[in-house]
Amino acid sequence: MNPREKFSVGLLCMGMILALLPLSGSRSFTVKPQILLSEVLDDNTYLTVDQVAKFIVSEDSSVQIIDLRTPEEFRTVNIPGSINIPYSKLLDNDPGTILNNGKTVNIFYSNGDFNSNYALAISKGLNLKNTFVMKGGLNEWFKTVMNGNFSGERISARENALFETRTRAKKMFTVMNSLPDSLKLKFKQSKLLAAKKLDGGCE
Amino acid sequence: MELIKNNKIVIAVVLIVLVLVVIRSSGINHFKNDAKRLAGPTLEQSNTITREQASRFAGKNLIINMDKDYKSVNEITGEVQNITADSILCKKYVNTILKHNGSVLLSSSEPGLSARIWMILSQMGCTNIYILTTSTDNEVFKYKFRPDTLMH
Amino acid sequence: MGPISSLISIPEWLDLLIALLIGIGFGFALEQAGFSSSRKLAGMFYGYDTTVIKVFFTAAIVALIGSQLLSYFGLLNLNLVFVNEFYVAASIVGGIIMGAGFIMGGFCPGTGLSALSIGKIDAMIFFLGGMTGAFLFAETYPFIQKLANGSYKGPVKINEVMGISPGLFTFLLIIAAVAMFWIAELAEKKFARPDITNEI
Repeated sequence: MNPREKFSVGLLCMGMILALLPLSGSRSFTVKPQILLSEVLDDNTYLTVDQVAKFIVSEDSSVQIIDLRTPEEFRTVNIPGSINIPYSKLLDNDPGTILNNGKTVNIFYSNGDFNSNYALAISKGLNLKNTFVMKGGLNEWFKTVMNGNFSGERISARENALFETRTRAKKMFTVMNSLPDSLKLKFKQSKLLAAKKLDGGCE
Repeated sequence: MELIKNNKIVIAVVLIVLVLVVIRSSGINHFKNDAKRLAGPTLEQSNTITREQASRFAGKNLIINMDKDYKSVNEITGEVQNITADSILCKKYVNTILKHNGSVLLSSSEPGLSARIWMILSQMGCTNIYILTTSTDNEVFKYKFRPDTLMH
Repeated sequence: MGPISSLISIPEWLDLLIALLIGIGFGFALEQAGFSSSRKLAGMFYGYDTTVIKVFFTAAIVALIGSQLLSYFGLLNLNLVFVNEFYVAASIVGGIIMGAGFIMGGFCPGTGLSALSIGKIDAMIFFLGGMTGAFLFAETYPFIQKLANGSYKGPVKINEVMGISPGLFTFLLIIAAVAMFWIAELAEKKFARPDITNEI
């Protein structure tokens, strides 16, 4: 065989190896398992509903709250200022662009504890920094912020501040979600537009 | 024989690549390809099961109890291993989990922790792994929002 | 690990310097392989010398295999690699114009510059022609804008359109390439031009 034929055979063999590999062209976790494990075991990645309520009340623009529920659920009720990325769509596009590559604080929430924590493990696995989970999800939010009442005889200053935040967050939540659907949509679109403008770069 | 002799270099290169690929695909210190496919069960929530469902599994169950105070999980038949979450990626445990012939059930009083560990192990190529839950409605919205109609 | 420029922010001058060094290497290799001869390139069209297709196809396949293996070993993140966007109409029209220029001039843009650098007069004319074309394109852009941006398909990948895995697509492409090499060698025998040698 001449060198060219040899080379062709070599290429064909390589091709066969590649054809058998489970290359999907799609994403796989890039962080080493041990490192990922230590990151997901970090207790700081859990935020309580009260911490999230504080962010909402102070309208902190460095915080992006991500609602992982379905669009229908999001439309009925959502945390003020949150954006909707259904959990099932999280890996369809590059999550890095949505999560702004860790430049903002990203807080995931779903109804319960599963989807948000899967999303956290996925984002950490893809080496996206600054992702957090609202512990307990929207159920916990309703239990503590919306329906929570102070029971006791004397209220301390700290508790007072806590309940003040809760009351204000509850009010914002109620006001936002009581808007008629058309207004909600308008608000959502204006938010999307603002996000797009900030994004910049080439189209 | 003559053929092998003439194609030494080609065969050597292909063999090296083949060996590397085999090592890579069987190694445990990395994640497998295609995060989306491996996360698939979470989309249908087919990876969370109750104790009752788990006891009906045909194969041998391996129950991994991640709680520090080692609560008993003996309501289901199967082998119980007490492994804390921070040591779950030790070589011997990973090998036990990956090579277990049957279902692996993650048990923890912290659903968020189970979810995170489930994702890591699944992305490492562990199939047949489930999260044990007490209720199936963790991701169901349990409250009703009452809009404030007096606002307008 | 890779691609380097997407992972660590390197200053623009270093980025350009790396590009310059790679470009010099590329030009040198082209010149050494005899690609600065317009006869070699025209030979592709007439069938007496098919080096061009063999070299470029081989380069593409080797790069494809290499990048996919690196990606499998976790050394290269292919999701960060730029995928060219597909404008159907512009690709067809542009391809015809480029092909016509290619056969008339006897160079492709890269080999044209490589020939220019060793002082070939025809390459200088070719380069001027290319510059004129670029100038005309920019000046007439408002009139051809619709064509240039028409039927935009986005950054599509063939294997995704075909619905097969990238590895399988690579394998099919290699088979196609080897078949093409074989046909090319046959063509070289059939349309042989012993009067054209490298010395001219």
